[in-house]
Amino acid sequence: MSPAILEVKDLCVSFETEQGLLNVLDHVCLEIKKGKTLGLVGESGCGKSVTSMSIMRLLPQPSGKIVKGEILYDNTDLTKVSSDQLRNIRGNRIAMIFQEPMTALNPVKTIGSQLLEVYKLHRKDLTKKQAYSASIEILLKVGIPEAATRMNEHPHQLSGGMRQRVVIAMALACEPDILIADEPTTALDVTIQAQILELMKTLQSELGMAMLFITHDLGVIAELCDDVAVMYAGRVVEKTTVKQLFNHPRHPYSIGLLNSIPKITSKKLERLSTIEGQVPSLTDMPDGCRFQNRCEFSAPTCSQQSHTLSKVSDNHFVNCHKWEHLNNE
Amino acid sequence: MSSNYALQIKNLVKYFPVKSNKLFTKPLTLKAVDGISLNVKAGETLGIVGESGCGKSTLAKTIARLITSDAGEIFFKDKNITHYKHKDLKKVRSNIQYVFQDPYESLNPRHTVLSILEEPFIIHAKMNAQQRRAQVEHLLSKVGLPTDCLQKYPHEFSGGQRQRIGIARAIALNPEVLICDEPVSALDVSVQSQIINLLKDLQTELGLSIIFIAHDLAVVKHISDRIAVMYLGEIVEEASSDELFNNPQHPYTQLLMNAIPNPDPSVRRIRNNISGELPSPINPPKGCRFQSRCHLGDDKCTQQNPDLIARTGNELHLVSCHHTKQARERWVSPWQL
Repeated sequence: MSPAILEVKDLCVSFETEQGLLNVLDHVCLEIKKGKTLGLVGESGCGKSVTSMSIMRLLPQPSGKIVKGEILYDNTDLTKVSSDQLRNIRGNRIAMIFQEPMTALNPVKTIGSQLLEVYKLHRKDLTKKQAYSASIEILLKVGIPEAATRMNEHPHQLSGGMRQRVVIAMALACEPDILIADEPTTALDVTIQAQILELMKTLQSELGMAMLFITHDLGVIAELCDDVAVMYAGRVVEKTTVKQLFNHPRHPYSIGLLNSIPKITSKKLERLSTIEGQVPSLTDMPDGCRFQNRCEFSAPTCSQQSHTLSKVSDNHFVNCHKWEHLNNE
Repeated sequence: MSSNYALQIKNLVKYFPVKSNKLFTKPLTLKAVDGISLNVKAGETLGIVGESGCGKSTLAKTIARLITSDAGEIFFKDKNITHYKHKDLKKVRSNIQYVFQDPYESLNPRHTVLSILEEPFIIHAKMNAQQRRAQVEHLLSKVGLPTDCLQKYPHEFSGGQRQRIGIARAIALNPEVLICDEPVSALDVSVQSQIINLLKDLQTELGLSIIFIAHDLAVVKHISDRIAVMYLGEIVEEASSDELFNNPQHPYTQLLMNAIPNPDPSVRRIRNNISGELPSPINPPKGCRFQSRCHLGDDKCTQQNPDLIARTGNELHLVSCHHTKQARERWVSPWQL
């Protein structure tokens, strides 16, 4: 088993709002292993993006606060480092790709000037000329033809897929140890998504970086990731390898989620199974298990304190009081 | 002559003029829908898939007469409704209803659920307030919403519930045809399956014919009896959904199927032949529109646009490709059906 390059331990994040203090993340624990991809899956509003923003320390200020927990990278706790140190890590050792390639790029600056900025900030050893040729090289690497012409173009002149390639190029310019990808393909068409996923796979094996891949698409998880963490209402409810999750899910929510996606191979007349009800609002989370009001196996014990993960096997953890009694093989 | 078709579309065309920023140059046209023919049988679901920008939504809006077509004909139950106006059109509208993609934008934020849902009855039926209220309550229970939410506003609901309101509004007048333009793509997976089940239940209950537009092939396969694949304003393949997935003949259909991420980690695969992007519909390639991304293209493809006809012996499987034989031979299914 490869060692963890980044560890998130008991992370709690709160947001100050008009409705009071909202506990958006509740004791989130994650490990990203060296050279591997961790998938983070869950419905909208479950805290996937907040987790990634906490790692990058990009939480909206002053409302978002890390209340508790640590984020360990390279023996340093990212929650405590100074902004100088942070600037050195962010974009350099840990890079991020955002969901919307249009909003992630500055519309009034050329691709070239945005890309060169990365080198200017993090690779001060390079001359302007060297940085320029490095930019061209990285653009070609992410599959952008005629890179020299593209350097002088603005984002609106590129298609969505090409823009996302530029964003990836910017993230990879410093060959980071960890790449955080927050729904990088959600805004793209399936054929373009397939291209971007292939590209990310090849680049990862080439550069040997670790990835945190956030998505709500279980298909993408199955295709790309090694490990996976399922999030629900601000908690990690299940954490295991991809194969284990798809073959032997343990948490009732993971089971429901896997059953509710229509599959190409399923018979047409089958009814889709659903998870009844909705995610409880952050303002009135139930005590104990946050899934209890939608869970068909819920029992009185479920309202007891439950943010700890139970161990199913060496690489399978689940946040459920009753997992041993669920028979799902 | 009477047929059992709920909708027949013949050679529908919709072009949009594009402003040219040069003086004295010919204005360009964007060919959003370029000669599409489709039939929807009563009680059937027709799925339409394609990438964004291929003209799916324009097609749907043109069929619903929300946009005026440039050429072609639309028949609703054998009546040509293409040029209906005023009174006649109003009557047809109550029979062809529309569910929009984004449940956040398609409901008026300043209206309560009651006033959103009673509007169809105000426009199309002579009812007093009490009757309307009873109808709205009935509608809400039909789509699985509590009847005590009449005075709530759209922002008080989740995305899935809002889409239920959108569907309730669409089925209020017992339409025969429901056009659903990506009704689930803005929703989360667990909610998505609830909405798909609801649409299927309503279809059996009310005998609706549905045109279901989506870009998610698995969803479309699940709900549709027949599927049409669109590319740059044209239909490139049309077949029953099982036939299409067992035996895709057009290289574009094959490309789409290869591109879907498969939610099964045991069948990881390397993809090839997925390069290229949708060309601009302002200047589509001459001949076959797919040639710029096709690995089978040759001289014939650059000269002649293939017709959408049965090329495989199966009368109901239509393909527009010159090289269906090679495409068929090369096809390796990415999943086991």
